[in-house]
Amino acid sequence: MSDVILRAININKSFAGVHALTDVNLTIRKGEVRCLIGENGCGKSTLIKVISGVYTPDSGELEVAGHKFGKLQPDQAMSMGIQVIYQDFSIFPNLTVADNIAMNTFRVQKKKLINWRTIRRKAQEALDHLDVKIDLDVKAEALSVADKQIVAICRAIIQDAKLIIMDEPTTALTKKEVSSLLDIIRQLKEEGISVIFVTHKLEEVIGVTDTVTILRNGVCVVDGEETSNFDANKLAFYMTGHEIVDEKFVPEITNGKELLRIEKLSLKDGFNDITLTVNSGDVLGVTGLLGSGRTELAQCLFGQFPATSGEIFIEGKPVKIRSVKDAIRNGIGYVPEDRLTEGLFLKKSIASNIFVSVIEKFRKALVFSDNRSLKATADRWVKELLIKTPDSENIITTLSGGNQQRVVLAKWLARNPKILILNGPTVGVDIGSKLEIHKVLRKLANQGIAIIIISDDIPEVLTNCNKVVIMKMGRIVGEMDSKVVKHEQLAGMLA
Amino acid sequence: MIGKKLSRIAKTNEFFVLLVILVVFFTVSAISPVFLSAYSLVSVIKTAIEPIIYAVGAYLVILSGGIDLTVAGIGAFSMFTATKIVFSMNYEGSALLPYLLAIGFGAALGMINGLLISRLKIQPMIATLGMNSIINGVMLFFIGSREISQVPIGIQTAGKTYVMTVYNANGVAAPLSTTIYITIAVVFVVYLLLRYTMLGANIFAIGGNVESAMRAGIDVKKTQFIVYVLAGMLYGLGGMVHTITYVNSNPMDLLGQEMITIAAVIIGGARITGGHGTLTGTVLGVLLIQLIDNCLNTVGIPSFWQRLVVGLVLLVGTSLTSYQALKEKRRLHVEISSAPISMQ
Repeated sequence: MSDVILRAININKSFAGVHALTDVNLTIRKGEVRCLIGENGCGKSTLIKVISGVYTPDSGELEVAGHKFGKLQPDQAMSMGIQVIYQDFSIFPNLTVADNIAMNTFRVQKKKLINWRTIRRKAQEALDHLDVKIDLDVKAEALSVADKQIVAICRAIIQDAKLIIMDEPTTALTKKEVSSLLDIIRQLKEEGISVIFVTHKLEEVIGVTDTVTILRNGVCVVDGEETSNFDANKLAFYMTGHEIVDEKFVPEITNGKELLRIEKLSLKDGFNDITLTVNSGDVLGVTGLLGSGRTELAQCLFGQFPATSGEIFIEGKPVKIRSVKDAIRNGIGYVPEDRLTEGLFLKKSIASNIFVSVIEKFRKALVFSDNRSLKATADRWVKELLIKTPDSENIITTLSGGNQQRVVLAKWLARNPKILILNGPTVGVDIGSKLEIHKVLRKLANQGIAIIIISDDIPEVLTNCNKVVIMKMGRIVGEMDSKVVKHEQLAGMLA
Repeated sequence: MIGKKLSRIAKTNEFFVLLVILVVFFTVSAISPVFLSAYSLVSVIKTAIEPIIYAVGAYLVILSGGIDLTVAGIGAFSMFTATKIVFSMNYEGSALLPYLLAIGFGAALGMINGLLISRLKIQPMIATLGMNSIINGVMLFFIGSREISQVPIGIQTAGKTYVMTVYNANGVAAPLSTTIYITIAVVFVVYLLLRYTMLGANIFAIGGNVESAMRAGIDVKKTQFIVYVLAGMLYGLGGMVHTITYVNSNPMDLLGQEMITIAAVIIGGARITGGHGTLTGTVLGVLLIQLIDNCLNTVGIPSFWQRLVVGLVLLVGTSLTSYQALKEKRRLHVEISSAPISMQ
């Protein structure tokens, strides 16, 4: 058919004997918005890289606008109108908005000289086209995430994109920004530009896409069916291969002793007068919106910003937490929001990331650190938390997002913390891994650790916490039992 | 619109450096009124002729995200070897041949830097550190390090042609050499390169984000290679300007030039991580350092204090930018940490 933009036929690709893609077929028509979903490691990114020419498939064919390719080069793919918007948007932070939008067209045309007037005009046209206002002379580093994304979309448009692939475009956006992105996607669709929307957020899939492709372990389990035939549960079923049941967490330890109590804790420009108690075996949910102070509270308890006033008691004894070291000494562990920048040493192995927090323990006993027992500790946690890797000596970046999150968890568990604070523990993590992480947290709570989950994912908080605290403008505005409170009620209190 | 533009200019690093230059100039003039003269101005400018050429080379490298410690090595090797060659062939022509030779040697050495860094992926700091040692070693061992004070006639004439000469109250002359035309040409050509060519845009791009540059189809290796070759050529040219200015070729003169050059580029506002900074800033950075040197002389402070003051300027200057970045980061941190975690 003539309106087929892209056809991928029987694509196979394996890495070191592991099949990443097995006989995958994909057909995208003009103006179609296709959703590509699947758990981490299902082959989504591999498929994108094959389509955009970054990887050469082991076998199979690509057909772009009627031309067949066994092997597609990245610049060929671009000149055929296939544009990928990666999660980092491939922006040049040091260049202006105009340069970022329009410079690539000069590159594609293999020009040697730059005409600044053309650059500005083209960039302005692209922005006007999407009806957005961004200053052309501002450097891209000063833009918000959403604006950076718009710059990346503009860049794709003025390169005559026929198919735009967006890799998890909504991960770092606020609700409002997401809805304006979806508006832009609708506009692109009307203009006949096809979009492949890669995501793990099911409700977005249903809202905006026409058709859906689901990959599981490199195999296409749903091939371009109408999105309207699916609901969130059905999607989750195809992604994971099994039914997902959300069971409410009921603590096994009912009369746990008090582990953490804070009284009238305040942090300048952060939060005010926070009083709460967490017992052994509790999972406490702290939820709140923009600027509610929830992250500052976590960082304060972990010693990153010492409190300006108030008291902290651990197991009934007053303690001072003025630094991260103090917090660790008092048995507090923290899994940060941005696991990639705050929690991991990205260039090190999985094993060293796990034992980095316990290396002192080993050093006390031995003059030289005993690598074998360190590795044994790491391997134990790799097994315990089901981290998917052939060898714990592999570099951390070889893992998928969910598995990286588990490594951060393992790092703190290796220290046997009494209190574990998790900030957005399942952000950017697919459903399957999310459930695994929740399962681990419940198990830990039942072993007697006090857990604090900071999240604005209401279902996550309601199903996994036995107590919920709502923060607003730096204060606690509500404290409730998660058995009693309803989803709508909590959502209402947040706003 | 104009107001907006002005406030944007006022926030730039170049504006700040210019402000410091003016403050220093008028403060010293207030302390010792003799300083406020055409003589002082010309003195500052003439000492900046040679270092600006080095700094432009180092700026290109830093802009591309690299670093180059071979400034002094390539500069000294190129000027010395070029002079030695024309000297031993009893050359009596103009300074053009020694210039071309020096640029050629610079290009060749820059090529080695470029290959090590772009092909073998050696960290620029390590590659150029090693290269600088090797160049110095080769120079001492095979060529000898005795200065050539009896330079060929072409170099002598070139060194003694002046654009103008000004005198101070005591009748001491400050001649402005025609080599200033070379510096002006270098700055102009590099300006055009960065502003109007795709190569220039690519240098900015790879300094900004290598990953994005590759995805945009930029040949990162080739761009890096060209940058180091261009830088080498400029160091060679700068070296020859040195020989011509002092009518004497002594490799030892350039010892430590790489550090003062990098300092000038950074004071001028370039970020050591690449991608940021302007040519104007680099030129102003050199002028500021030379001005300080001159002022110290005028006020009667021995010139070895120059290093100390340059160090202070460097640290104070970068602390200011770093402090601003920190403030900005803290402001952003509040926003980021309060952004919604998930939409579900």
